[in-house]
Amino acid sequence: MELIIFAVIGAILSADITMFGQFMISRPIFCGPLFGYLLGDIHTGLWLGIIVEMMWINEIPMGVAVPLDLTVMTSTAVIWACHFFKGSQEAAILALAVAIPFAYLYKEVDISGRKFNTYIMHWVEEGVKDGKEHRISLGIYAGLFFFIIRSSLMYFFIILIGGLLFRQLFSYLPIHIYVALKKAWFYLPVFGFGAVLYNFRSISIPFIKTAGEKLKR
Amino acid sequence: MTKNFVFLRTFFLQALWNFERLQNIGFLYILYPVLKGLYPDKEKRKEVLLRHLGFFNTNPYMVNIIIAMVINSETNIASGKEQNLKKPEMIKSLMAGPVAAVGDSFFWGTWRPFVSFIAILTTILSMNMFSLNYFWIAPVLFIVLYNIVHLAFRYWSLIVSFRVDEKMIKLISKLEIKYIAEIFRIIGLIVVVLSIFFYFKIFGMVPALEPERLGFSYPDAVMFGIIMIISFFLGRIKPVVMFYLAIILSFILGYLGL
Repeated sequence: MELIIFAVIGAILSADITMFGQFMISRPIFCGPLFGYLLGDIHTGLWLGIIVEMMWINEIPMGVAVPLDLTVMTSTAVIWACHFFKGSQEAAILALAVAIPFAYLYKEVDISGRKFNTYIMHWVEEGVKDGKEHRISLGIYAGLFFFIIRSSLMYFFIILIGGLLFRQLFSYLPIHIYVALKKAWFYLPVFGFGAVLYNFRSISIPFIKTAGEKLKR
Repeated sequence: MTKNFVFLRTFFLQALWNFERLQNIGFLYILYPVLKGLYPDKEKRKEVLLRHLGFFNTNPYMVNIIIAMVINSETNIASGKEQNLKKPEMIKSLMAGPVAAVGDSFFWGTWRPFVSFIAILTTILSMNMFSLNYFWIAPVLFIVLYNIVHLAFRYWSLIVSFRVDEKMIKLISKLEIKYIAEIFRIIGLIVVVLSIFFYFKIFGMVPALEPERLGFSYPDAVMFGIIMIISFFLGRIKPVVMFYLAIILSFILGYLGL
């Protein structure tokens, strides 16, 4: 039952990326701690959230590009880590590493869903031509409904299958890999800082710009 | 009442997002109750509805400006003040790109990262200053700060666009959004530098994390600095590649005992 509830919550959060609202409840910095709180370990959720938020700072849906779903990546990693090995930093990092391929799988399913939306769009168009205007609202609600169903099923599958894979993998890791994962817990945010600073390379701070021009002269 | 109803419907703009015509049905869904009021005759309404089924794509936060201008235009056409039936389509096609550029660069390129940096700094500070019970502050701060500005802008842009119509384009350009964005980027940079400073101080200077490595002792902050420089120069590569590189680097450093 808990698994179904988490799958539906995950789907609702993912709907925020494109389908409804864009209130940013889908961002890792919010959904990570949310699942952490629900599973009694907000610290792990928040830490994974800030790692993903910083490293994927530029990942936003623009135009026809379908970005990697960071919500599914962060949420499932937090759920696995907090459910199976609560409080373990090593497990949390491994969970995130395992969650990334599943996020790619989710993206492919999302693309198929958007292709299916084209059929609904044509159904609405035909309806309007035939004077069935109620299809406009129905089309919108159908789009949302199919998304939530599709996304919930994907979350359910990923949490279940990925969770089993993650638990087995973590239990059989050699000791030096545990040490490395512990290090990665502290190194990944630093990698994130580097990625964030890279974004600021084009910034023009007026004072520095003026000083630079004076130096050139 | 109608304006508030339209405002609520704008959240559904992308509910039927599709690869062929992107936000077309979402746009029509927002517009539909207004068009129903303007054109009581079903046959005439059908022509108008079909006009709005073409390709449409813009930033979802900026659509309110276009919606208000299209509603104003449709109202004028319905009342006979406007003769050009193609004007609503022209507004849509001419406005979608430019306003999307403003929305993308300000909300997604500047405001969201800025609010994220504030939340990250809060998280790092809460590790040092507060007990573990206060970790909820950062995500709540992120959502509240982001949405105060985002929702206020969406509502304001709709209401004002209804009133000033095409003058809204001038109003937006007068807002100097590029200048505001640059200020937030500078403040954001300061916040990031502060976050790095506190992160290095809290996690990099702890005596327990200073073992003998390479025959002498040095704080983890040294390793953090080297990693951050590497990461900065790898900034161009994909985040996924960078993530796994970080894990591999941790394996190597762990194996070497560094």
